[in-house]
Amino acid sequence: MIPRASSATRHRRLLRLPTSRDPTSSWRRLAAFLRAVSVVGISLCALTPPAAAGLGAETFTLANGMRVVAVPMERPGVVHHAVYYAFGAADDPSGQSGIAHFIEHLMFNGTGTTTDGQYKQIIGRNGGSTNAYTSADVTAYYATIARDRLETVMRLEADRMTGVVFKPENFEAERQVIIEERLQRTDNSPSGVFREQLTAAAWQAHPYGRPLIGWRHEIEALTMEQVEAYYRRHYGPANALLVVAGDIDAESLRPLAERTFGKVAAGGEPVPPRPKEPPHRARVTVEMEDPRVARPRWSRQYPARSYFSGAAREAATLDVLAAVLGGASGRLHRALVVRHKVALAAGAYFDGGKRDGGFFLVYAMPADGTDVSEVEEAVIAELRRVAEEGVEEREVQRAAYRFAAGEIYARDDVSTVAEFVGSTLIKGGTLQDIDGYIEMVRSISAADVAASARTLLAEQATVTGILRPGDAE
Amino acid sequence: MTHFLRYAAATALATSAALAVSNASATTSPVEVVVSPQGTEAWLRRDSSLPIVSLAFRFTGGAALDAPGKEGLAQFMAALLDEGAGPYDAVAYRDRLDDRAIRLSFSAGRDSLFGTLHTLRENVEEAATLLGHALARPRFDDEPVARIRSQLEAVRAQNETRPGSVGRTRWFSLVFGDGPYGRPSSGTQASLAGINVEDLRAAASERLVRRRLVVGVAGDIDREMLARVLDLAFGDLPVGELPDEAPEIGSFAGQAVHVPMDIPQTELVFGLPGVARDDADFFPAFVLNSVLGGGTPGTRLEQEVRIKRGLAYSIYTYLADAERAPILIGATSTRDEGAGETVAVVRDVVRQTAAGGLTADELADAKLYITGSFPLALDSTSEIAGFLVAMQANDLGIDYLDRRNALVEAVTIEDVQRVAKRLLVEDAMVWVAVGRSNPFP
Repeated sequence: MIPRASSATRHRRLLRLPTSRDPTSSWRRLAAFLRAVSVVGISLCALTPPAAAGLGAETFTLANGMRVVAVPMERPGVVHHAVYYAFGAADDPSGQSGIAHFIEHLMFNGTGTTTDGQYKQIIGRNGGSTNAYTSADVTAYYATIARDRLETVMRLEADRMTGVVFKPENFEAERQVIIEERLQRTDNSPSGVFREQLTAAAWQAHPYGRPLIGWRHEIEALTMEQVEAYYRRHYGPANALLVVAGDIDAESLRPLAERTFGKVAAGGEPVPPRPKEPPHRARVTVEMEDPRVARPRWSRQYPARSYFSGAAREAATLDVLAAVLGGASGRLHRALVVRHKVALAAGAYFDGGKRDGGFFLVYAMPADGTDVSEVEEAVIAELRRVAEEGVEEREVQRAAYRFAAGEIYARDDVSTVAEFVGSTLIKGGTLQDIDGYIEMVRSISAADVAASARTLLAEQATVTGILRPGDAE
Repeated sequence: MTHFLRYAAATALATSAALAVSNASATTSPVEVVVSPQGTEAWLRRDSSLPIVSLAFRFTGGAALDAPGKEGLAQFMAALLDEGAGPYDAVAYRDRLDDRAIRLSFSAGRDSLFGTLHTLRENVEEAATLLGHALARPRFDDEPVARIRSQLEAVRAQNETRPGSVGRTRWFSLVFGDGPYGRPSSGTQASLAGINVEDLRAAASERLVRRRLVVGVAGDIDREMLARVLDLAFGDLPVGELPDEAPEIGSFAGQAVHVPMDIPQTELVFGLPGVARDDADFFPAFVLNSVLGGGTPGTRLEQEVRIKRGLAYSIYTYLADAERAPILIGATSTRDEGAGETVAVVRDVVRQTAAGGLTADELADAKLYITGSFPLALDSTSEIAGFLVAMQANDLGIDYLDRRNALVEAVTIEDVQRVAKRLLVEDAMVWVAVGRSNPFP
């Protein structure tokens, strides 16, 4: 919602490629959270993974049905407060894409008791910083604030759960802001446009194919009545989950929650079931040319089940495969970029954090004098090598070490922990899943990783993306 | 966390009425000075809640030191430090880092080379040893030099098509001409092609020296271990000398330039002279900028451009940390047909703020936000380590965490008014627009 002022800093490995970055989310996904750095090397001894205790999260439910989680952390005086709603852009009614994201914006525009923009000002006067995001599955609102101001945030957040006042003049101004946001994130950049096209091609029936921010013509056509009706129907305690991480425990959180969120009348109709994705039967290639593309990029994505679509172990195996293939010590970088010099960048990524399914992605950016088809062959050859020759046990153990270290690193920050817990639970995961994750990763063998590569290669219905310099026509 | 957190909360409370303080008390850990046997000093804030250590370091002198024709050298060197060092080639070095999940990064800004090292406590000596190799014994082998050169060139070429990057580069060149800040810090096609291994070696040995170094550390490490770690990481560096950083004179004469680019949204970059970190008016300027466009919720520019008129999704300003010539710079992007109106609105806000300063309410709200959010923003070891580096680089004193909020509180409405008049000279503003049509009258 509130973009961060960005400085000109750049990273040399940030040769941006068509991954599946959620355009309107400012958070790190489950998989990214756990991926220590990105990859694992091929050398030396395997170390014993560091052991982290469980998070010690405590959970309870308010009388109106709202779920609450406290995550105690040694961060005296600081809490991160986040409310998750069990719907996101993929739940936008057909023909009304952008509705979830539109509401996310309007949540900052005043209720019966606060006026336009006051929400942020009150949080700001209390030293807090606040923001929100819309992803495919979730809409979330969060603030980091001093422990002794926590109730202020809770009161405001409970107020706007059902209290947003819709005013035509605000609505129209916000529509313009959202169209500017769309221009800035998507239309103004060839890779933004291309990513949107690629996503649309990867889903045939499921709404994951639609842009999170919405199609422009549908944003322009949304009426205030439609948006308000969606808000009135679905925003309510039954669809909400509160997570507070930091200087807190369940015992001290409960009375605060009862005084604030507990006063909201029961409600919050579940969103209707989403259309299911049929099996794909054909390969798809998405190609685009644009004069503002300096270098061609190639990617291929394989449909895969996610952590939340009943396949946690399978998903974790794909995360380990992505760690073996991707990153600065991964097989793709080593083979394509360092040894054969056919690519400027190459890597792998697993998008396993969505409720209904994800994909495994490999990508490369050809070096000077190399064709797109050559890097494609080189990437697939590496994938085939894993499938046929397997990976070393040590590569897998090293991935486990880095995932475990990554989990400890992540605990350094209250917002990261809250986001991990909240985005997991709201999509149907459990606290046991979180606490058992590293153990599960450790149980994955080199043979499992090779088998997952074989499964990918057997997949016929891939989506290949090629973005090239050149004229748009 | 810390006494400075409690201090900040207490300060904020003094001016807002409503809530009761429950002082979350904790083991107070002050900032300590640790000096290694070989004489490297670091500022340390211990925190044993997690078995991790964060170390941040800064060498004075960045891209602004790159000679004409060698633009991009600082970034090129920084990108190569972890691509082979000491006994390890690029592949072996990366394996050693990744084997133990050690996160090491280097980045070159205009005025400094900044680095971070993040590791589990159990690997801290190995991490420091690897860092020591990178700084004192970078190899600059042919393979990584060629590879990084082509990556930097690819990024540079791509940035020439990105409106934000084009706008900023043009803005700096308009203001600073051929001076160190005016030349592109990511290099040109010719300069990147012309940088050779001797240039890289010379830059490393001249710039990575202890006299230019400051170090900040946070996390689970005791003084004895840190002393050892400091010598492993920095002990082999020569003492060296401070760089010659002559002030730069920017030209702020109301320039307004349109750079044609066929995109649906126009990028606007605008700016003025700022104030130096050691200027007596720094805090008034900081508060002023915070309300104008930088940080406090609902800034004046956000209010007028986004909330009232829906002209942009984001608009921001900041006081750039530029040692040779402080600047106040901002940016936004807006639909083609809205660009002219946006320019006019920004100019109006700047003019009105110069004339009227801030209201008492705005000043009070800004102080509450700036003082209250300060400790919350320093809630992880990497943020604390980085901040300890900034404190040393700017000579703020070891007790700065305790004093900082009082310095904000001391800003008066008259201070802000005076600084607004001094800084916000609307007709001196330098503008760049990147987009289809020229929004300047």
